[in-house]
Amino acid sequence: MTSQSLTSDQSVPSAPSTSSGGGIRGFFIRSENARGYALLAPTLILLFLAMVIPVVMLVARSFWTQSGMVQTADFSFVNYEMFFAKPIYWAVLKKSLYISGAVTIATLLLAYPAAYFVAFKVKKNKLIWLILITVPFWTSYLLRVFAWKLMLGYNGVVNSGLIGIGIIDEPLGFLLHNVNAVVLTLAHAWAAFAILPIYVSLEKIDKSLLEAAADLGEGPIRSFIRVTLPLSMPGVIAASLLVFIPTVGDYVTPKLVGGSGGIMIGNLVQNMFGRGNNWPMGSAIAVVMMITITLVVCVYLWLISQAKKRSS
Amino acid sequence: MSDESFISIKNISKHFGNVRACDDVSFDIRRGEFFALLGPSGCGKTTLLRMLAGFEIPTMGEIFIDGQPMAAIPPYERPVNMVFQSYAIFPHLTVAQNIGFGLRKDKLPKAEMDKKVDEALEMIAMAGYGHRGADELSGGQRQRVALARALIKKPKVLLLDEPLGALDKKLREQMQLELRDLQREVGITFVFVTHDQEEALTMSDRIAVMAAGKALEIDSPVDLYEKPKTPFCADFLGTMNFFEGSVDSIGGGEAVIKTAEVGSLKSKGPNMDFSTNDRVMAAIRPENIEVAFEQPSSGSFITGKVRASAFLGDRAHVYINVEGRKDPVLTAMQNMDGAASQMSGQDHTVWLTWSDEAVILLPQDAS
Repeated sequence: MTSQSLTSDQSVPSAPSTSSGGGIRGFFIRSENARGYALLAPTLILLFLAMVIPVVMLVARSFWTQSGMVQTADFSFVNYEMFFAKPIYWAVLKKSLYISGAVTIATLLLAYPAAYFVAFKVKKNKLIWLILITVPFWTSYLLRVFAWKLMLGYNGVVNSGLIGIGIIDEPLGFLLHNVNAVVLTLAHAWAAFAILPIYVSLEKIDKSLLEAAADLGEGPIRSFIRVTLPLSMPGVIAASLLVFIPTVGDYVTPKLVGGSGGIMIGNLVQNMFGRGNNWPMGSAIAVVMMITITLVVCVYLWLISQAKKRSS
Repeated sequence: MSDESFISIKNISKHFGNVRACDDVSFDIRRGEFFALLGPSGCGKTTLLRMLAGFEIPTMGEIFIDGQPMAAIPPYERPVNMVFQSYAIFPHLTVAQNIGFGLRKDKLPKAEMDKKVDEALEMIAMAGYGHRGADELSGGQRQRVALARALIKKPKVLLLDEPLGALDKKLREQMQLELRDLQREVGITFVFVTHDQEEALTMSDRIAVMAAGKALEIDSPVDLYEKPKTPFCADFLGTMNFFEGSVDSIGGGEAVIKTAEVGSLKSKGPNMDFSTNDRVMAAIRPENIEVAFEQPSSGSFITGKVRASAFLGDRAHVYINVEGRKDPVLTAMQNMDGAASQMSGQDHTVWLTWSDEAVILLPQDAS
């Protein structure tokens, strides 16, 4: 029924029509593509102004050079040479990828049970649960990071709580200002972005498939491994990309809770555009970061497609 | 445990909140039987099947399969397998992986497992389809795969939940015969749920007719059709003309029923457990009513006028208005030598006759 009406919707305007007349109106009625682009146009224009132009400028500037206050617009690889000559840049980039990877894994591990619970165990008022998941977003990102600072600080909630119930005598120093604090804070900050896509893919699973797995002799754990998990993989993959890509370049969280050990590539970029006052170098770092993330994501997706091929 | 009570359903009730999906149901299913649970939607037949599979837990009562109580046994340990209404083919697996899904626990060497899967594919006439994805199958093929996937486990009981509901009519009729043959071949007890009375009559050894959470009658298709014991069954299986009345006299395998609509009716039907003045329904199947265009010379008859006829190809249903009766009397006639065309006109006066054996007495209050 729907597919029929869909195809007829498409075939009518694309058929050579004599009655629709000329002019812009007729053009839009005849051309499926024109209508599509017209709908996309506002977004495309905004994307072009706010994304494409800045990225082009960024790439262009990464080939400039700066000495003191003067930027020279000559084509030069000097920034990129610098990036690979000084081990600090590459090391921080690797560390950023490592931290984001850890954040992604931690977020998925935290998000999956939550999504599973809402999809399978909540019978009524699912919407309320979904809204509750987004509640942290009702305050600003900065405030949430500060909240973790309060939680984990030397005189923070965790330390005073533990002292209060007599488990420790002195505050623990290793809670804040390190990589673990960055991973924890980011995992919490991005949880909803992982929960929602996983929830959607779990919700779509036909419940009779799980009954069929049980009927064919598989207990709850095996049913999960053989049916639920593979069928929810699209959500897991989407969630992992949604978390991994933006966290690599994050600079607020490492700055606030990461200390000197938790520095990420975003902090270096920020520094170059700020106190370091070397915009071309900052641009070059940003470009290398973007290319690296793209490569990592491509390899990740390629590995997934290989795994899929092998299993079927 | 005997072959007579291979599956034993004892006083099973299932309540969902205030709804009694099953209400004190008890009956036995024989070993190797093709058994149908038949009833309108919401009668509790699917709930009962799901309790056999272990997906629902009875509120009260107990189920035994092959002498074993099922109460504490989860679905994945029961000696039953199910063909789901939606077929529940795993979309992320190939046909072969779907069919072999339940074999993991048998820990077979891969070659042996492949062999079993190939045999199963052969059985459902889908050899060579093993590598196909689940989304490349037609409705009938999905149904076969679901069947093979369940049967490869060699269950004691195969449960089928409206297995043919999603197929078109021609395919359904073909699959009815195939299922029937397959069941004889493998000798496994089949329990299947359907709301389609024709399907139940075609396929099963015995049928349990269910309504409002109760199992009303359990019998072979022929006996259910020819000797129904409740008005509900009489009406649900096929069609039936009912005449309300009371017993005037009864005895010696004969009864006379006084009706307000068509006067006295004589019955030599199957049910004679009534006494004088009991309120009863006299029921006559449409095909047992003979339509004549001239007054019969002898015997009892009633007269009426043709109101409408429905031509069905091989037969015709003719609705006849009878003076003093609100609903028309339904008659069915074979369209032999174009007999149905004689009925095409309206307002013919006709005479209806039937044999006394065709008049079945049913209690009025039941169901």
